[in-house]
Amino acid sequence: MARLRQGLYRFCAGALLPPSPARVAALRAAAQLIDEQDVDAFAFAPAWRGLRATLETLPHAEALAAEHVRLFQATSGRALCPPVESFYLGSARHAAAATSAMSVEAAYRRHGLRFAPGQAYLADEAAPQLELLAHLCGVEAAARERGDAAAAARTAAEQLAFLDGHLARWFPIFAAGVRAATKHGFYRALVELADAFVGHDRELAAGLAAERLPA
Amino acid sequence: MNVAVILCGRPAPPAAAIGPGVTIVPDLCAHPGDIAEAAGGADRLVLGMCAGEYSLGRIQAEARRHGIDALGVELIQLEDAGADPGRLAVLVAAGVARARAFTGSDPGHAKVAFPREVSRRNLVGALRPEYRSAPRIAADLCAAGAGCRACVGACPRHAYRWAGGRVEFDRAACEPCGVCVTTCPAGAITNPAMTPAQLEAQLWALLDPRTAPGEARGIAYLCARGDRAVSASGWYPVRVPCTAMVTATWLLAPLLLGAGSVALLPCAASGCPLGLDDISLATLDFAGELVRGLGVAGRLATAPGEPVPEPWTPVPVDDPFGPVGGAAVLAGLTTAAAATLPTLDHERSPVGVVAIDPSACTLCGACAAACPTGALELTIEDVAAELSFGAARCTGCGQCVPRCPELRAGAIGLHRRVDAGALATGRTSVLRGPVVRCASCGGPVASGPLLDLLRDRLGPQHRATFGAISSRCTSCRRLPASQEPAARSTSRAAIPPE
Repeated sequence: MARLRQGLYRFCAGALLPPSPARVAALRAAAQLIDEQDVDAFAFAPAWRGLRATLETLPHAEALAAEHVRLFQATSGRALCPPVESFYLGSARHAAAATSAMSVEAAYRRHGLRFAPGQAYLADEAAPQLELLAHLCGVEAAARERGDAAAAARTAAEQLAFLDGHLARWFPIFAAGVRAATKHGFYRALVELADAFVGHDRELAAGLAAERLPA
Repeated sequence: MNVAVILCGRPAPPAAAIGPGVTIVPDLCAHPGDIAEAAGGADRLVLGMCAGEYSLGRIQAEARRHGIDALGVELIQLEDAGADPGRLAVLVAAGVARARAFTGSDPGHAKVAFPREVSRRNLVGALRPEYRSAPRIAADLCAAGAGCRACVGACPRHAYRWAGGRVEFDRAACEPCGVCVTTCPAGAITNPAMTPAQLEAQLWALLDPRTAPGEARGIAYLCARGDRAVSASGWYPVRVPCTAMVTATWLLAPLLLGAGSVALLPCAASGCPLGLDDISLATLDFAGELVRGLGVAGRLATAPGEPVPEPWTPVPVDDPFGPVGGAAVLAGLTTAAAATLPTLDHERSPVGVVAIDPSACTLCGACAAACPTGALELTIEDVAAELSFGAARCTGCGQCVPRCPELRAGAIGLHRRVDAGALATGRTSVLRGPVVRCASCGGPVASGPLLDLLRDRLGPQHRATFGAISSRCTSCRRLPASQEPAARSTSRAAIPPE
């Protein structure tokens, strides 16, 4: 289950980055790997199937790139729905952005991650936040695979803390904005999946963090 | 709509229950993967299985795999049927009726839960969550904008939060008990797996005299979380997320649909896992007082197994399980029992009576604006305002009381009371008074009593302020004279809150 969640977080992170032919091909390959796992066991399975359908019939990468700029690219100053935490949380935008970015970067450092030199992300953007959660799911999966339930529960608690502190607080507002801005197509299906998945994962992480093995 | 009915073949179901469209799968509990072949393109799924013998998560996954809404899967506990083919046929018919009345869910309704039995194997390896259907608020029906926060006060898990004119719901905090669903006076909170429409469809099927003719039937509400079976002859189960959600109206309404007797079975022996026993016991207490007052105490059983009296002829009742169904059900019970409705004061009364003190009320209309059901109404015609009360629409939700600005003066009070006189009278005028109209647009400024109170409180030193407030409505007061709206004729408009 943790491996599936890791794959889905990574998939959503990649899908929110600027599209290119290589990235679209990578997403299709990743989707096939996710399909091999038991997605139907989870309530977000219908949203995943919806996204899979649009992924197979994607227009060429240039058309997708234009839609990506229109919806997400906050640096243009006219993006409809910037995928950036500080855009949605807090009324004093500049102060909120600084606080939010510092807080998120601290979380990355705490888990041994840092941005690669020359990266173009804002620290509190969706893609790196999703990547961090993918990383934490990977750590949890490794703990489960070696039978260390206590470490798995601790990592689930860290996922929960990050979701409660960051992604799960603003992602539903962002997703509602995307739904209003685009009625169909890949990005609509993507936020349907990601919103359902993030909400689901917050509850799941809470449950996993509280799990205790029977004696 | 295509509903697939699949019954586990272990033990073999009686032949009489195997009607057209019913598939038997041997040992279904152990092989839920076999659902796929049997379901064959169905929109809805009804499964008959043994309690505790299956993994709900796996069944839901199988449903999803075949494009079936997992929260709409109906599970029949085969233990309820015992060895009686007639009982199983009735239970299957009720499951199909519920499945047909299911209108679908979305991801926001799926509340993650974990299997009750967690083993090392499924924790480390193939742990799969299962899902319970959680409530959602229909924003277009929610009365939070008018100040209603009934759900906030009712939720035992504090999953609802008042956020200034709207209510926020925390699904993670929710432990779906359904109390909010039956508390919401506006009918704005729904749980797709337990809607009034589903309950009514299920009850009509359970009580259909064409199945097992001549059998007097009892309906027993019980908690869906337990494994308890209801197999006593003549008694049929209605499983709910928690018995605390069953109101007195829900409990007694089946008597009007053809049930000879009803019962509510709180988890008293084992204790309610959500700690809500007190609510269920209070409902039982009220229902007991009511049926005793009507002289039909035998209609409320303490446990299935008690003899079921002959049912009444069904009494048509409009929306008996809806948010304002209480008065209609009480009227139906009175008719069926050929008795006089007793006057009862009780915290679980499904109806209430609002008392207005004419000497303290200023006709400001705040109570009417807050009333989610329209029991209190303020109407303005020409130069008069009238506050009226219709007891049949009052659910006793109490949202009007804290909104009253003259609460300390005792202007309003609520009695959670069955009052035969008030219910029989219909809508009555509570208070009538003059209305001052705007000198600019002709719209209502405020009621005379309210302006009198305001003048007294402002005192003579603020006479000019009072003059400005009392001569123009809020819209015209804000506008420069050059932009005032043309005079208009308004009738039956609400007084804008000051």
